[in-house]
Amino acid sequence: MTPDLLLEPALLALLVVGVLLGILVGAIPGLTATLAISLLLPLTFQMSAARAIVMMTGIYTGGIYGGSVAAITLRIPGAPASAMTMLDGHALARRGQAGTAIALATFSSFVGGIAGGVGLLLFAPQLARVALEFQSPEMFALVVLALVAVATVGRGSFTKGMAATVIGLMLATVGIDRLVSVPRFTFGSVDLLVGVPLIPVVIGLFALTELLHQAGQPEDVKGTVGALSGAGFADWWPRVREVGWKTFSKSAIIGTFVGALPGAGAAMAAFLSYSEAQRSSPHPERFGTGIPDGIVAPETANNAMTGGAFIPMLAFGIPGDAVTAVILGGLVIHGITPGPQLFGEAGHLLGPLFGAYFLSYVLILAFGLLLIPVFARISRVPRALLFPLIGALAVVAAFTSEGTTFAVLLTVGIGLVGFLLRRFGYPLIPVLLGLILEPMLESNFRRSMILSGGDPGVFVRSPIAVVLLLASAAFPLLVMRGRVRANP
Amino acid sequence: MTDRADVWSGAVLLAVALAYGTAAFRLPPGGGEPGPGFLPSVFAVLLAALSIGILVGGLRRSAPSARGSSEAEATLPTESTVEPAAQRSARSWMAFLATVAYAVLFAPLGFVLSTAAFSTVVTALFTRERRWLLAVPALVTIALFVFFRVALQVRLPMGPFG
Repeated sequence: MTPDLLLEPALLALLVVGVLLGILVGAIPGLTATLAISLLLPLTFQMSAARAIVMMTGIYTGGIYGGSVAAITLRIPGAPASAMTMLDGHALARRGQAGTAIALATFSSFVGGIAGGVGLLLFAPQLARVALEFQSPEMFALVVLALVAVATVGRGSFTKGMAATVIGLMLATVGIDRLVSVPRFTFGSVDLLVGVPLIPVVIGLFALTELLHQAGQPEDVKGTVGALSGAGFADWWPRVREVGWKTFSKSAIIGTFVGALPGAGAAMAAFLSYSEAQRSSPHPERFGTGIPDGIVAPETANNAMTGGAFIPMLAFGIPGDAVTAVILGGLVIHGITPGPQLFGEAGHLLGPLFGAYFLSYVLILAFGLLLIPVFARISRVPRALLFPLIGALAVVAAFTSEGTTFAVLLTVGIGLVGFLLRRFGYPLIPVLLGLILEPMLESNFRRSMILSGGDPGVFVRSPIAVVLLLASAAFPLLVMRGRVRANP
Repeated sequence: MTDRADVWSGAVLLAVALAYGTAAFRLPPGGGEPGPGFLPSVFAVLLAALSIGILVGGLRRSAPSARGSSEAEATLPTESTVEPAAQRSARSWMAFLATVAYAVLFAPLGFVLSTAAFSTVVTALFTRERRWLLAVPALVTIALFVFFRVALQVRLPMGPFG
């Protein structure tokens, strides 16, 4: 396993290259780990299966971590999963402590990744079995909980948070209906038949919104934050201790379990973990102001998710998220069919996979901490250079992701909507979550109803679904009570 | 966030909910089980209720509300007392129009020309220093070309250079 990997310099070099490429691409707004693997997949065609697995694993973990860098320094999540990290990470960066924020994200990513890997190694069969208990009614209830939770987090109005969530849900209904192939809200446009793609929305909602917002700020060429501090060990380690092991453990468990649920993905892991950290915090009102827990919780969870996401892929051949779906495609190209037979026929590849996974997180910790001074300086890049670059990058990335002018125009339109929503005090993260989770919400709701012959009682016959729905109802009340206690 | 902003945004969202709801109610309802129009109709009703809440809340409050989005609050700019708000707002709209033009002209003009032109306009929104106006467009165009075309080998429209 790991020692074998260390003994073969070529494999180790590929892993280093994969992790660095993943961090680089993940840190660029609009370029996600999914896109990084898709773009770099052809590079692995000429490699052996073991080398391809090692490189793809490095890109995957590096890409998930890299998304937090842009979220903290630029207030633009490099990937949807980093959206929650943006809230407290950027708030801390604006106080000149980008180094501390990146160090917290790096250490949390390492802890989360290793915890997810341990979950993968020790509890894969058990987690897979529990995940299989989550049928349509339970998945529907879990999505409802995530949607309510994200509308509640932060310090803003719950009504506006819910309205933003519903806007995201509505956006996701555009396109061909997934169950009965009826076009919805397409207004005769062929481009809209495939729906509203995720990447242009992420780019528009965060990168272009930020460009329009910053263009309206007073003229100068300075960076977006003040003097830098907080990159040293003595600066960030006390913050880690202040957060405590409970937040790390809970977030790692949430992340690993969400990863094991097919299709749930890193964004849901981060959203749920952040919400739970805020709910259980003695200071929920401080979330969104640069509190370390607000960085630790989502980063631990979305990296723990990477370990969990391998579980359904390896055990059943069902990808846990979009990136593992692309990795699955890559494995098939190399003649490997994931699923139960993987453990028999291609069992020799599990060593490189697990070894690459654990080592990639050691590399992330090392590179992340070493590169803090470089990353932190991103937020000191003069605005007159940064925002033309972000604007152009947004358009090129939108064009690259979909290959059409329509996608670029959609990105610009979403950017305007995001700018206006932000100006009127609506949070943008719930819009993104609504868009991501609507397909899961609707397909699981309708499937449950079809299987029960139209009986809504199906949602209260499952104990898991009942608990999750009750938690959805109680969640806003608990958070509101915390806020009232904090500000009587 | 002022009350007037809540009134306006609530009214706009109510209009969106009504328009979306009208289209949603025209979708096939499904026989026995919820069809493609069911959840969109629920979303429309939900947004209508929430937007009425925002609108009424805005009308009721007379003083500016202290509550705003955490995201918005987290990034509140350092307010300029020198530059009028209308002028700063105009720059945001200029940036929007420049991006629309860039999006439309990206394929016909090609990556190099459209990116250089867009970067020049956007740089001018952030500074009037000539050295920035000359250096940034060149730097942005070269950096993105090297990253996308050379490193990632993505095909970009080249316009007259193609």
